[in-house]
Amino acid sequence: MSNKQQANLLEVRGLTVDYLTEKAKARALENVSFKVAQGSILGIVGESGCGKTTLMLALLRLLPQAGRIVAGEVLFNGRDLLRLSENDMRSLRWQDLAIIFQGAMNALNPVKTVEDQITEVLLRQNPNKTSAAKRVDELLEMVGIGRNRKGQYPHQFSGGMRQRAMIAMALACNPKLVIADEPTTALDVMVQAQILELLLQLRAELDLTILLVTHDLGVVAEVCDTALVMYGGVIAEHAPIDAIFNAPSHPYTQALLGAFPDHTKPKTQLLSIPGYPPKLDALPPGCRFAPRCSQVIDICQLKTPSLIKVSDGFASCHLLETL
Amino acid sequence: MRDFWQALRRNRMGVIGLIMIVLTLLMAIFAPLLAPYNPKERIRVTLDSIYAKPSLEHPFGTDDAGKDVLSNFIYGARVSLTVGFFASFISVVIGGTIGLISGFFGGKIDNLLMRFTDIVLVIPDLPLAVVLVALTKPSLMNIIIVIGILGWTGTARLVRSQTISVKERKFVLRAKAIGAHPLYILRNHIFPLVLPLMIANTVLVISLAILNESALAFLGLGDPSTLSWGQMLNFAFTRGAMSSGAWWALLAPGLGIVWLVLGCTLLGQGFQQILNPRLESHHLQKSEMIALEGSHVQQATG
Amino acid sequence: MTKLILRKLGWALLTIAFVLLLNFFLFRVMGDPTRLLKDPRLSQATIEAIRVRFGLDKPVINCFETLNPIKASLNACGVNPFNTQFAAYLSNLLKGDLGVSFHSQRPVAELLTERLWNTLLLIGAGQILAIIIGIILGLVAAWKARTVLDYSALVGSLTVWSLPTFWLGILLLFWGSNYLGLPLGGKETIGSGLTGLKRLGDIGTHLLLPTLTFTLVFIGEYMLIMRSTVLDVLSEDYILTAKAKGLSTFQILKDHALRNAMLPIVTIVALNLGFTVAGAIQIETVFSWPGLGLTIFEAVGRRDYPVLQGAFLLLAVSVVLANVIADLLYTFLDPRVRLA
Ligand SMILES: Nc1ncnc2c1ncn2[C@@H]1O[C@H](COP(=O)(O)OP(=O)(O)OP(=O)(O)O)[C@@H](O)[C@H]1O
Ligand SMILES: [Mg+2]
Repeated sequence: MSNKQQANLLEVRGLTVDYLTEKAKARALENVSFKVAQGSILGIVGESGCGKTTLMLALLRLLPQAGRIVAGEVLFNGRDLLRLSENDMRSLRWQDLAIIFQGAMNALNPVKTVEDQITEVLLRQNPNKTSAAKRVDELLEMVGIGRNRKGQYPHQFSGGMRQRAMIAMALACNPKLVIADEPTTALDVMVQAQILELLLQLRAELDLTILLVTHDLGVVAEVCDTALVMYGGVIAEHAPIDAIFNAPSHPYTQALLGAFPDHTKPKTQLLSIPGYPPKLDALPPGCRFAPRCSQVIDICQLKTPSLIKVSDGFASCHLLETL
Repeated sequence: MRDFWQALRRNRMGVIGLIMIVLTLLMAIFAPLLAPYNPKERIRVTLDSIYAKPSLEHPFGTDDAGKDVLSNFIYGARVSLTVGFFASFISVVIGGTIGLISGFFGGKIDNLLMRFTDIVLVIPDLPLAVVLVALTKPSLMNIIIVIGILGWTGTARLVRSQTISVKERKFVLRAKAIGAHPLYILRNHIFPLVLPLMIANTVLVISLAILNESALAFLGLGDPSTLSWGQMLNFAFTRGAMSSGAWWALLAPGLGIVWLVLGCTLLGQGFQQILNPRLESHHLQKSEMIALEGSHVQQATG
Repeated sequence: MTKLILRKLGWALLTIAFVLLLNFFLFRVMGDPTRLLKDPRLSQATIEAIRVRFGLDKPVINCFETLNPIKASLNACGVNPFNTQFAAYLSNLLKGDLGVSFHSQRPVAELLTERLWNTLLLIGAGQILAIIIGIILGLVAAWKARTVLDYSALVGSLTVWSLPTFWLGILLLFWGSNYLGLPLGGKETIGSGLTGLKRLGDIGTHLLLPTLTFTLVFIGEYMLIMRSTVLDVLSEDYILTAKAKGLSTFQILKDHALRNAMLPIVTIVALNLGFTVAGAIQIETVFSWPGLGLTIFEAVGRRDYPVLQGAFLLLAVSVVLANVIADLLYTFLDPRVRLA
């Protein structure tokens, strides 16, 4: 599917985000740039705390009060979202860009029925209650929830059903881009597989573009067209799936793959990455990965590498520059 | 403890409250030096001296018996403070004991004590206090005891929940494991950790006790041998200050109560902010989210 | 669910039983009943009637006989439990007989029912206003957390909370009667002979200041509680979802924050009933509003014990019942509990 050549739906350029806490300023994202083609699925991976959620929230301008976008552009269909007025941005939300949050347990309001929560967005578009009710049935059917359960409250749903309800809600207004922040974490393997299957199927039916945040490289391999590997707030590598898995350019990507069980070669030893991700308020000079990198060279400690083009994608590593 | 003091000094509400309380305390202690007249002194009452307007001689005017309101006001602080401190001491001791026992031992004891607390909590305080004081003698002692034994429920619940959270800590569990006596653990390990919260709570209990005393006194159930701010208001209200337009007899004692209670409330609020700080940030807060040149948002949020 | 309701009702019954016992002991043991009979206002015949009605010649309860100062010389235990003061007290209560007022010689039950409605009117008007205004202020303060608006609302609430209710009443009365020409107190102008709408208007002007006092006193507390609950709600994930859904701030506050924060308010209103009653006693006293609070004040002044006892009992039982209702309402309103 990755060879489908289409215009870019989303293009992010030089996005930089700070969190201002009482004590310090932490740079959570630095100079993040990438493109997403219409109809493709981009997988975003990286260790916990590397800024995946921050990136997703920044795209939608939903950062918490402490978060601040200090530079960059987010071009959605050629329009810079960061420079829209608050009202224009609000009218784009959910109509064009929907998000499924990490942990749908708390993302649904516990005292409103699932139906009410979906209807709420439908009525924004079209205040006709009967057509909204019909659409709710349609949506729930699409994600495999019986319509007899639509009047129930979130706590009466299982975790998997809540996630499906969340997906139904995200699709309510036929958005062009769906952001899914770890939609399957905390679900068991079977349910996880079902949800991913559902996303793939919906992508095919509705020509959705999906940003899928996950910890699980297996998921990336299974459903994504391209992947974005993040490390400590910067992009380590951004490339098509084939390149990521078969010819990873960045030492971090290589290390990640080494730490991931490969079913085709069951005997190989798993290697964990020694050390810890950098503290955002005390970043090392030069490359952020240098302290943990096994192939570190002198320049890594001195200069921050920039994102450069490699065969199929992009990576930020001094080793690639010298080649 | 030193940290706590440091934090309090940085908390504006707490500092203001503390200053207000200390000023009242000083006024009560140095009442004989500050008051222009002695309220116990017998005076000859003339028609002119009843509800006399504020003057140089009587800065706050005089009351229905021709006495100096300012002097009564200064001495009245003593009664409010006495009742506040002693009654809240009783409340905190009862509530603290019940809370500690309930939280520490748990199980049946906890269940029983908390049910009892719930029952006492539901019964309305003031009517019960009125009945109790009316059936006994309205002496200062009785008033203190009645207010004290009615005001412990909040403390009990608070101390209980704090005890429960504290008793799961490692060193408490360790002490238990090496077979320390429960009372020893309670006194040496748990009590010190519950204490800060209890102190914070005491300040609020004091403010409630002062309000209750003034209400009882206003309803005519004050100790006849003293003159509290509540009683001053009761006398002024029932003995014609309203119809004589003698606002000075009504203003000072009420302001005194508000001053002292507000002091306690602010200090209590300050304590609370220090003991369980919360971020107070949420999803609807407008952040100056984008610091970009040429963005509309910057203009919109100013 | 049914089990939950039954358990709550059970606790309410137990609490009421405790109140009954307390009421009995307070007036029969602490309040020396012989004092009742020495009241100079009573004739010999009345005293005799009271003796019989309350069984004052019988032991207090079975083994507490010695507590009864005017006991007949009966042996300590083994007394027929149905032939005691306590039994007489309970059976009188069941018959709705709360005794006769020393002061007016009228049945206490009749006197109290008459005044109960006035109190309910005052409490109802004051509480509803306080709740509505308090909720709105709290919502706005939480939304604008850590701004000047929030801080001023916070300090304002703490100040209002610190006001002695009766004193605020006195100030408002002083101001209203001297400068606004509002009545000095009471429920209506006595002897005005007004009827119909005019009479209602008259009652309304009398109700104005007491209600205002009530509202002011309680706004602070409701605001503080609402503020902290809404702060909690607004930092929940589902609010972020609502925002991502493109709902306007107003919609989010109305449909998500308010709704979720209303639940704790129900509990708080119930827990506050004790303070509400305290407020009513003070306000009714200041404004001579003929309700249960004023009745208590008058009964204390007149040492009219049967009235005091009856009023206390009625207030305490009402508060217990209102608490159960609020508790059940909460259970019903929160789907997480209702459908558990
Ligand atoms: N509100 C905030 N204030 C300050 N720092 C924050 C805030 N939210 C996140 N951060 C910091 O920003 C960094 C990135 O966080 P983010 O939630 O984006 O990570 P993530 O990649 O989504 O992690 P996970 O995989 O655990 O979800 C972390 O170091 C985090 O501590
Ligand atoms: Mg995340």
